[in-house]
Amino acid sequence: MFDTILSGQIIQYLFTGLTIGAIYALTALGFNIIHNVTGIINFAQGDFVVWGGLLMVMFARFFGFPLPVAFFSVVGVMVFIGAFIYYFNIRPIKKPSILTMIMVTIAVSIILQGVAMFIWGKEPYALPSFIEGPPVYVYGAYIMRQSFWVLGISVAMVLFLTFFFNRTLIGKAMRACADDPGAAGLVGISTPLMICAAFMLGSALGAVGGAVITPITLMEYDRGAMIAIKGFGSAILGGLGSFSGAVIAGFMLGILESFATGFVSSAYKDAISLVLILGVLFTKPEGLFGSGANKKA
Amino acid sequence: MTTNTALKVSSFTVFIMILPWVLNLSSATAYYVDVMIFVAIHSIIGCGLSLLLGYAGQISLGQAAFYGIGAYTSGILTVRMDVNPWFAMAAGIFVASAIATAIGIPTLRLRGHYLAMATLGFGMIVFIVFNEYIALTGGPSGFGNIPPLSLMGHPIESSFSFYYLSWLAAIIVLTASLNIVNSRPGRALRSIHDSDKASASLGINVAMAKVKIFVVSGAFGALAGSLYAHYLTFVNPPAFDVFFSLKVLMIVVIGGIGSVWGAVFGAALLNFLPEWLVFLHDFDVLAYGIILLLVVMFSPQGIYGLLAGAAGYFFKFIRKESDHD
Amino acid sequence: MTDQILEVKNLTKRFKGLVAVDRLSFSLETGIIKSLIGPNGAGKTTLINMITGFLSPTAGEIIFRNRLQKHNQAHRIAASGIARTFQTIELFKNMTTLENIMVGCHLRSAKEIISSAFRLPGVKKEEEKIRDLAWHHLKSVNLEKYAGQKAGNLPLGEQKMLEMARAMASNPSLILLDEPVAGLNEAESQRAMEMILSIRGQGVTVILVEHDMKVVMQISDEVLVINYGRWLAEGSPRDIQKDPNVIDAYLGGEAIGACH
Ligand SMILES: Nc1ncnc2c1ncn2[C@@H]1O[C@H](COP(=O)(O)OP(=O)(O)O)[C@@H](O)[C@H]1O
Ligand SMILES: [Mg+2]
Repeated sequence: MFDTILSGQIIQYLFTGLTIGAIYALTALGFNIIHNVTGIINFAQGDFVVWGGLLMVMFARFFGFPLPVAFFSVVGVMVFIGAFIYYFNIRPIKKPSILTMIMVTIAVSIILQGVAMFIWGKEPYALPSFIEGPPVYVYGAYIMRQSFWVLGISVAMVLFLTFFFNRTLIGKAMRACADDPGAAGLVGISTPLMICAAFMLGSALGAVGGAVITPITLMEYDRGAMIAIKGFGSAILGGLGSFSGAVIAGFMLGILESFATGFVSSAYKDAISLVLILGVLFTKPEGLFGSGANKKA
Repeated sequence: MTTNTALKVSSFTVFIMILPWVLNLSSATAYYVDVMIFVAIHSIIGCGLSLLLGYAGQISLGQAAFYGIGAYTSGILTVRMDVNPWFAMAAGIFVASAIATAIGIPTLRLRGHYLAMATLGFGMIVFIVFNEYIALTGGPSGFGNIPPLSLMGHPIESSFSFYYLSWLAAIIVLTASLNIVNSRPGRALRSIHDSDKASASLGINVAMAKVKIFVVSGAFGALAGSLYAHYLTFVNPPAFDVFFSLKVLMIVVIGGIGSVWGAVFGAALLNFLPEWLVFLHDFDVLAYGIILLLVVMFSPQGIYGLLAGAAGYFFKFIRKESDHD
Repeated sequence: MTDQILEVKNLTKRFKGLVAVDRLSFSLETGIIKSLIGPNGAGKTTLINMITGFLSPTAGEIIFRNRLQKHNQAHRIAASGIARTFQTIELFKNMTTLENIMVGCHLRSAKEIISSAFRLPGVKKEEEKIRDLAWHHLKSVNLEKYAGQKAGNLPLGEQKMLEMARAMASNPSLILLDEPVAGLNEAESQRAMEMILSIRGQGVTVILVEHDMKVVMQISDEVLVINYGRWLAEGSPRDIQKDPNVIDAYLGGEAIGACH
């Protein structure tokens, strides 16, 4: 049997894992949305998260906006950036081969990183919790209040996306494009518009993740690549294209990482996640849950 | 190698041999000899990725790992075990090739995005090991006192002598790459790029061919890394991070993906640009990103493609046979 | 024992629910042209993909030159002497016409990366040998004038000829041609037919998938008809034309000879 200290510790790790995992889940959803509509894996997805965090710091801490205003301003700016990226970098590509799209999104990632360094410099930024207060005591573990925000907002995003893709006209149109771009064009759904919508949604989603996690993890300009690969890893583990798979896999990866930090070594926690991701890529690239959603390998 | 290629390589060699004498004429330009050493080192690792990406059509976002493995193997063997630097260099190339084989077999079965992400992840794992396996690598602060390479008892330490060493290596690598490209294994790689189905139907072991060229790219990367370590006499992890992998990608893509010469042009551009844009400080990154974007969007054949196009336009080269270089 | 180059026994390929090739058995005599016909979706390409190692059979056996093909990879099967072309042309578009055929000669040399990189002794001679061989095959299809042009820029008819010449450059004993005449005009298909006959003339056995009955009747020695992946009829072109089963099958869709 576990004694209370150990079980408290386990709950602690579990919560930390869920919190980190929520960000991977949101990043994975961002990958999926853009991939499903366009077939592109957006290497700048991690930089959206970084930008979300740093913009939140700028609006809330430096401009002194009230939190909700800051939060929605971040979303607004990132929706705009998503559209900008689509119109100026994705749409002009005449022969969009996979290799070209990889390089374009890498270039976008480098530029976002460079601009972030230009605006915010190289140091990490802190952000106060959305609601100040001491950690909450749960079954022998102290849970940071911000964790509840992270989880709450992530759940809200998942609910929003479910609603968006199943109930709204534009959401349904985006799904139609994902299923069959040719047919979607025939029934008058403008594919470029849908792709643009996917980039707007993807970048907003990443930014939300960054905005809510920064009070816990701090944020700096060059965190994008690591976030991107963990988010991509979650998308793969969950079966590329599958939303529920991405969420579950994101949480799993977060929890794995948290326990790896606790029981193995914090130095190698990233390495452990990466090895898992590579292992899955090598042996089961269609994802752990075998949803078979992945057609565009 | 056809006469055309041989002519280009030999004119280039002559140019490289004369260059430091010209640069040393003025104290204002003498420093460029050092810059040129990095051009050589980056050309070497760039040639490897050029073969992999430009010819076989397989992307790698983890080339920094091989660079690091070459550098650390050289450093660790010479400093901690007193191994002769040349042997250490050979060992680095060997270790990198072995790791490239092991990682390449499962990795190169993947395509497109999956391959890109897998190589990115591989590079990150190796980077973490450089940082965290402190007993071996010295951790984040790295370690110094790596002895220089030496020739018949004379250490190759000065910029001037190391310039010739690094460019000797670079020209050998360039020539070897051109030779590969213009013969059976290189044709097989290019054919895979266009249609792996047809390649297989003609007896080409597609999976193996990809792994082999990945190993070559790893070996070139390690050679470059080892030269780097013996030149700087010091290694630490930041030189081998994700961004360096992206830099190698930029060297190849900006220089021109359709030719191994592109790697040399790209290496020159990415090393001289920061010298000319010193006012940008660290923000040269931004310049690279923008150039990469512009190249991919508007000039997919890169600088080499532009130059070759311009040269072709002016001189209307008449080539009896297409010589792929 | 008759001189059989290929024997297929109870070969089956199932894609999820669909049975594309269904317990198909036939044998192939050395040195002939055997046409494989059947309506669209009959399983012809699937059969070719199995024989050439691009798909592994769900069940059944393929025996080539008296040896059972195990779960082989395509490049191994190519090395054993089976060449093919593709229904949707698979040229190396960004390589020149000559280089395409030089890749076709891949199996005729063994020079690898290291010896090539350092031009070790023998590499130059091998390269010259390959170049000469490639020119020889290029001339056999009268494509010399395109030698230095990118294969992707050739007219369709020439692309099909090039694909056949490239396959022949691998020096096969059996070649499978998947609709080499489809989409060609009168003059071009005449050339393609002459090429196929000359392949047989060189002692290479041919499996030809073709819809145009005029072509099939003119050049095949034997015809195998499949429908829904199943064996329907087999025999000389003349017998096949009269076979009531075949006429039935085709009347369901299109009449023989009116497919194109
Ligand atoms: N890779 C595949 N996956 C699923 N079904 C396939 C695949 N390849 C072929 N088929 C199906 O198998 C059947 C036979 O196809 P094919 O061999 O291409 O016919 P043919 O070449 O005679 O026109 C068709 O119904 C086709 O849709
Ligand atoms: Mg077919």
